[in-house]
Amino acid sequence: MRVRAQMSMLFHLDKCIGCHTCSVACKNTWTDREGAEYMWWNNVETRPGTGYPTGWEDQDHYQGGWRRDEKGRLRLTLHSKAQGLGRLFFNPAMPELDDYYEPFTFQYGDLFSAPPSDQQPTARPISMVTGDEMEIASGPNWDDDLGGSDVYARNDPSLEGLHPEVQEQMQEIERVVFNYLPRICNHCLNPSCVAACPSGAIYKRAEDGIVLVNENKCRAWRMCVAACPYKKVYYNWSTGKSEKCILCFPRMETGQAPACAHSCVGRIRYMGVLLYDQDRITDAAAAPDDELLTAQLDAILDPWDPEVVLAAECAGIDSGWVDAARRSPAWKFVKEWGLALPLHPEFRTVAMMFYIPPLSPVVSTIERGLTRLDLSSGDVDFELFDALEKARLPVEYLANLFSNGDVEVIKKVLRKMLAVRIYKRRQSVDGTIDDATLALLDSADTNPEEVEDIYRLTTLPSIEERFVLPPYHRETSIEQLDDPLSHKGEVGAGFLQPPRRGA
Amino acid sequence: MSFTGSVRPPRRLGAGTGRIAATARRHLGRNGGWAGRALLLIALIGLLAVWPSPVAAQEDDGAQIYQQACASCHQADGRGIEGTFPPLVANPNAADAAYVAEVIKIGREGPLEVGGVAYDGVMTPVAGLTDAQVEAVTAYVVTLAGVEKPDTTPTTTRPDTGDVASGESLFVGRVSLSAGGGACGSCHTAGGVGGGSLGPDLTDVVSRLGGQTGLSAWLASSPTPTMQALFGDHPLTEAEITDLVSFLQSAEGTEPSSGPDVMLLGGTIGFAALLGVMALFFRRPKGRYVDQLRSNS
Repeated sequence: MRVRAQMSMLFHLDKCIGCHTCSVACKNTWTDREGAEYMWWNNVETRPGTGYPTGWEDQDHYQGGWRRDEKGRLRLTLHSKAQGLGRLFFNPAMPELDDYYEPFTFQYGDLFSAPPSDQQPTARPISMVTGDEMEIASGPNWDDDLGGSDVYARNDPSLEGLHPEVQEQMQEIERVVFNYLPRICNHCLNPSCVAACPSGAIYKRAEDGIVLVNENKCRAWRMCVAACPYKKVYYNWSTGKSEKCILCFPRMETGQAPACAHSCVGRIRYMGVLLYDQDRITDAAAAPDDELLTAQLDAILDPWDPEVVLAAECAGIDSGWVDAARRSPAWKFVKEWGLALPLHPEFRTVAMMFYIPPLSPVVSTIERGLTRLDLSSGDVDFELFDALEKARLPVEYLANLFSNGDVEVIKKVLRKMLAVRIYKRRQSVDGTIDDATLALLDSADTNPEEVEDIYRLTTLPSIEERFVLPPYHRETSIEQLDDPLSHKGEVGAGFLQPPRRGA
Repeated sequence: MSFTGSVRPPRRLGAGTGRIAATARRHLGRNGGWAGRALLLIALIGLLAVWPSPVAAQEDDGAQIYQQACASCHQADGRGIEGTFPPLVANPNAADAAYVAEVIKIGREGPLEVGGVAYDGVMTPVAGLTDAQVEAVTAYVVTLAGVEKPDTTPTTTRPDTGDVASGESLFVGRVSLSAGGGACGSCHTAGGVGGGSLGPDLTDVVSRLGGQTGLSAWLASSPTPTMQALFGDHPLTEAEITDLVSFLQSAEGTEPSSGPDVMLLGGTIGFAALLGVMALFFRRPKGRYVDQLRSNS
């Protein structure tokens, strides 16, 4: 057992209102630069939809992630080493700028400098790449709230395997449904971007598992862009280097949550440490399809286990980190309560950002002008609990997103969340908890204490409970690489060298 | 004969030591202390010892520097080649030390008249001289300028006594140059012989460089950096020079080689064929994803 620590973000999709505040916070902090205009290290997608870049989940097209060959070995979907050499200068799987969108601004100056005329002056859109006037044809959230759903939502790759009738029903105006999916880099345990980089410029930071691009080593091969199944590595055309989400490590090192999480209006995001076993990564990534999710969750270690604590100490992990791992909301939601799942485990990169799938109302129909829930009479709460297939957002769809198609995993999570809701409703509306509710909790594999804990961390957490950031002790990490006194008597700690094209 | 090629600008030395110092500091850290500095000093001394400085010994011998750097054009006696290289003897410009030093350092081009003869050529800066060397050679040129101009016929002329056939053999490389220099034909072509295209065509080089005398001086110590790098350490012998000059004289006036460039033509056809074959195997870009969606729905 080799223990490593990972900073993990958790997204409570039931709370996301799709306001894009996270995206804007990230953009203003990191990608408001030439060459980075089209990048959204954090973006929020509407589901069903094709997201950003368009159709990123379709690995038949984009060839990201890993696949398991006949002998059970892991292979990059993108190419073998020999193929990689052949495609070094032309990689057909590379997304084009138009797959993201051409960044644009408007000629606002024209509003002031236009000569007197009968018509109102207009600010025409211009490309932020060429500076020429352009027709806006796409954007970073072009299919937001099901816009253009005939093209986008209908072609969501995750709808695969859903009954055609269900797919059709999701398009009907009375039954239409969507939820939001915020995405950042998953800081995977088995990152395919790292594996694909011919320059060895990408690495996973040892102390907190953040995957970073070394801008000094990057040589613009862009294999990472094609290899990442989440399409979360971006190529900066101005500097000629790839860039990606850095999980705001400068903020975390100073005890602040990442900008996206900190700015989240719905407080859907949680940050915490997860301890994992480095020796189990290969097994977790190469597991057969049906064991994939379990294998990944098994690699996450219990910070209360004395053996794990001892091994963590041997691995040089600070006791403050173990303590943070014990208080970690990621640990609680992912392992203790089993409510959070990784996005698309079938990509086999062992993604380490986790999602709590959203609940949705039951399907309804309109009869004689009245909305009728598609349920038999009786107690509505209990009905939905037992009839999750009637939920508007089909469990099969959620299973395609979060559990490699395993509906039972999703049902288990949703049942537990419903149990919390029903329990708390009984408590606050009826004032008492009847036996039926307790039995329901039992069947959802939970108990009143756990329900209270889940409720507390879901609805009422303080900022310290949402963001349990470990003490970084950067000084000890820096000392391993640099003599802290080497700059004594000099000015500053060195120069910030902006990446240069070709350097 | 090879000082210009190997003398580096002094700036480089500074940068090099800076890097070495930085590396040493990084490796030794703050505990390096006295030992580190001593090591650094030893490294620096060693570096200075091996740093090439071949002209150091002839620092102020203006006459010698002149013979190496100037004589190939302005001739050993400073009389130049009429109409091609202006004389320094009895040249009022050459008596002005500041002017001479400037021309040596930054070169000169444009029309010029000396002794009633018009010149219009380019003199490149003489690279690789230290300030002291420039001063020395300037002083020597100023003394040349003071010499009364004697009769116009050059004191030394190389009679056209060379063997054209053996000159051609040397030119194309059938016979190696005795000091080991490369055959002329590997870079040059003269009168359709040789085939090299890296250097200029030498068909009319005799008239271009001021007759056989000028060409002989040129070949004895070439002023261009490329020729110097190649022949500085492998000088031509007297006999080789006369043979080559005779050969080049014989080439004078012949038609330069013409006709279709087989290499260019063949290369273009070959490249096109290669592209055609590769087009069968190349994978095409997949195009915008959203276009595929639109065509689906």
